[in-house]
Amino acid sequence: MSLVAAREFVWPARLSEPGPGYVAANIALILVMALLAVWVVLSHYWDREEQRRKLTADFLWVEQNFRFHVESDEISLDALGQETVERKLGPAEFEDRVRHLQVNNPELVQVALVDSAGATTLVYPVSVDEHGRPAPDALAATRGASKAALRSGKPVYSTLYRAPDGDPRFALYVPIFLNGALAGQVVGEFSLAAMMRHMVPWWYAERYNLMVLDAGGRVVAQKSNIGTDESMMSYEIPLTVPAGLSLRAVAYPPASGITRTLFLVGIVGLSLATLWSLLALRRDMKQRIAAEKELLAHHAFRQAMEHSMLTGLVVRDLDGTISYVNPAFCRMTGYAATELIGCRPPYPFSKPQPGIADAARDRNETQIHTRTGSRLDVLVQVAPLIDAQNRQTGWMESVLDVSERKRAQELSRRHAEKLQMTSKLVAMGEMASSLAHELNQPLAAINSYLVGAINRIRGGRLTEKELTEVLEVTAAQATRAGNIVHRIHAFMSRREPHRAECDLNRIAAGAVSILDAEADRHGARIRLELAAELPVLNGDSVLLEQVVLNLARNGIEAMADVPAQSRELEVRTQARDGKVTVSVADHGCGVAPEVARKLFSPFFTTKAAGLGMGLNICRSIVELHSGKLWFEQNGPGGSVFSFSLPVDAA
Amino acid sequence: MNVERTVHIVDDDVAIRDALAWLFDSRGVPTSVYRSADDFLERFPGDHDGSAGCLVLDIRMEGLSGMDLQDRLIAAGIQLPIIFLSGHGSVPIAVSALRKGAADFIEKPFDGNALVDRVVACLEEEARRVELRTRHASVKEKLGDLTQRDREVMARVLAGKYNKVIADELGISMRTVEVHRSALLRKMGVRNAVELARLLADPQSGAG
Repeated sequence: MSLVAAREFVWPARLSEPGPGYVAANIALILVMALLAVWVVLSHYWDREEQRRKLTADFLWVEQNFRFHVESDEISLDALGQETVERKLGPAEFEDRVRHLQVNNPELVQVALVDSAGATTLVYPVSVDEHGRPAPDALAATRGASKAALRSGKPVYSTLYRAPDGDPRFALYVPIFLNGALAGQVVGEFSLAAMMRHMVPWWYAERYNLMVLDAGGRVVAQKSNIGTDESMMSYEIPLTVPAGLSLRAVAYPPASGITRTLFLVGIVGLSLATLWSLLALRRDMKQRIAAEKELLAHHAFRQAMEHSMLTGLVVRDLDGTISYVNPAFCRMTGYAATELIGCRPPYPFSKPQPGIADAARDRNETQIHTRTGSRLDVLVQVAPLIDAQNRQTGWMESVLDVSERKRAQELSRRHAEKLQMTSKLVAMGEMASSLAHELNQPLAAINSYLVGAINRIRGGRLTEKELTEVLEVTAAQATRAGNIVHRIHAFMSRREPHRAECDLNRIAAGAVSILDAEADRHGARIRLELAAELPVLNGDSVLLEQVVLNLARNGIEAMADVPAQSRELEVRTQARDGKVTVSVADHGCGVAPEVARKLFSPFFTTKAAGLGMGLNICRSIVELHSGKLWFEQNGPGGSVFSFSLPVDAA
Repeated sequence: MNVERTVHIVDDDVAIRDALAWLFDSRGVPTSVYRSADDFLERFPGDHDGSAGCLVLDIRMEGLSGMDLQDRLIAAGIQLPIIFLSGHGSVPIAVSALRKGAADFIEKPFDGNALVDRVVACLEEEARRVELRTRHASVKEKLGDLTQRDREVMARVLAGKYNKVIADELGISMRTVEVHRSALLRKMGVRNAVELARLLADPQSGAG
């Protein structure tokens, strides 16, 4: 997992509106759909055009075929008539000929030969008129055409008529000439339906509905009876023979139309689906943007919160690499976040310790080092960092600066200590003052008595009696002074030393630990050099600790004016010659010789606020333990105060 | 001048009183001892003319302290030199006492003869002060006898002006000036202008 969220997260500048890519995609999609629609329309149009062209071509072909058929029939009938007349064929031969003709031309229903007088000579299939004479069926309906043919000497087509069974028919009258003279005419009766049936090929019938219309537009014959409607494409031309008829072809919708429609439906459906998905995408994007905005606001809120927080936060991986620090921690330590992120132990702010805090404990008070080198008391709270997979990925430490609080505590403690000390000193001063006054009284009296006596002796006017008297009162005053001194002594030794077995190493270490904070305030370091093993002493550990404290405190204060790097105090213990020696060496300003002489006298002090009792009391305590306290110069600058105590003193 | 020169010793310690009396007696200085400030206030004869004494006063005493006694004396207008004796040197007390006009502040134990020397010096100074005060009083009395014109003439005489000039300035005759001049010299009990100037200068410096 990566917790590199420590770096400031930069959100994309444009967030609220969709990008140009999105718009382009939309436009492209719409264009594609438009083109598709245009293509569909155009292809439909093109198909229609193609269909129409084909219809036209096919229609013209079929019309031609129709005409060709009729014309070939005309020629066949003409040939039959000529042969029959020229060779004077009998009915059987005629029938044979007609049959033969009918095989190829099934539309030819009946053929008859009529002579120039109008009498039917041959007819096949045989049929008779109302008088029982052989006559073609068509003649009754198409006598006008017959007459027109005879008159003009050219083939004439009759108009359309209905056979008794309703079959639409027409007749062809072909005049026959023999040796230039009209010899008769051949009558051919055609069934339009049969004609349609045999003349139109199957493939045509599949595509088109071909029909023959009369002059009134009524359908008289058609190839197919599948219904047609007006919307279908059609083509119509009038037929030359037989006259008054027209041929019309209606194109069926192409079979491929279904597939086509399916295609179209598919395309439209897919387009709609695409459009819908686009809309859905847009809605989704809007929701996403709203969510992102919310997230951004939340992030800003979190960031503001984080920036305003006073508690330092540090996130470490399991291997101790710092992956995140918050601004408060940077302010606290003075390091920039970039300097700390990626750091591995030992961290710049915690030189002596492996981590900020011992991970085993979840709450710890410790010290951290700021960039400027000063120490900061902090309260560290450690919590494991658990990721979404419920695995621990590191530690989250919150660091609270408690140095102000500690400083306040320390200040109040020192204040109280000072107050106590002061009151002690005041009491001591009071006592010293009153004792001095008391002692001064007899001393002043003694002096006066003696000076008075001397004056008299010089004047030669002192009697022996007077001298005796004055010496008596003087002696009494001396005794009085002595009594006062006794009282002082009794007062001083009111506290009996509480003797017990004690270890000077422990005493020295204890005193140093008490003074550590004070030394730090003075920018001084205390080096403790303890002897490996010290014989156990019998003494008052509280008093002895006071001695070490006093000497060390003096040493620290003596170094106030030397450069910070040489402010080092050494507290050393050693055992030698049946004595245990504790020495406190400073590198301060040293002790001037004239000061050194008065060093141990009471009420002598070089400190502005001192009473001059410290060293004096120290010496008293040391002497109480049958030891001695002395002073030496320490090299070029500084001084060493030592005291030694006999091991067997008790 | 016949001035009584008594040292008044006020101390609640009988040994000190006795020893100091013995000491001063050895130097021929008369003493009078009091065992407390109240005792002194009761028995002190008062600061009458011609008497000049000195007060040796212990600071710390039962009842009224030395400082209290000093305040009482100042309030009563009794000008008596005070030498304080102190068992323990307290600078603020010493400063306060000296500011209020104490002659000296001596710490116990002291060198006996040095104390006596200081007291004697005080007594002499006091005697001189008393004499000056007396003289000052008499000059004041004599000045009271002068007339207005006498004073006008005297001011000009002291300025060193000649009679002629004085006469011109005052618009009187030289003769009249001479009459006034001899009258004022007589009234002031001096023989000439030089003595007059000295007489008037002395008490001023003494009083200052």
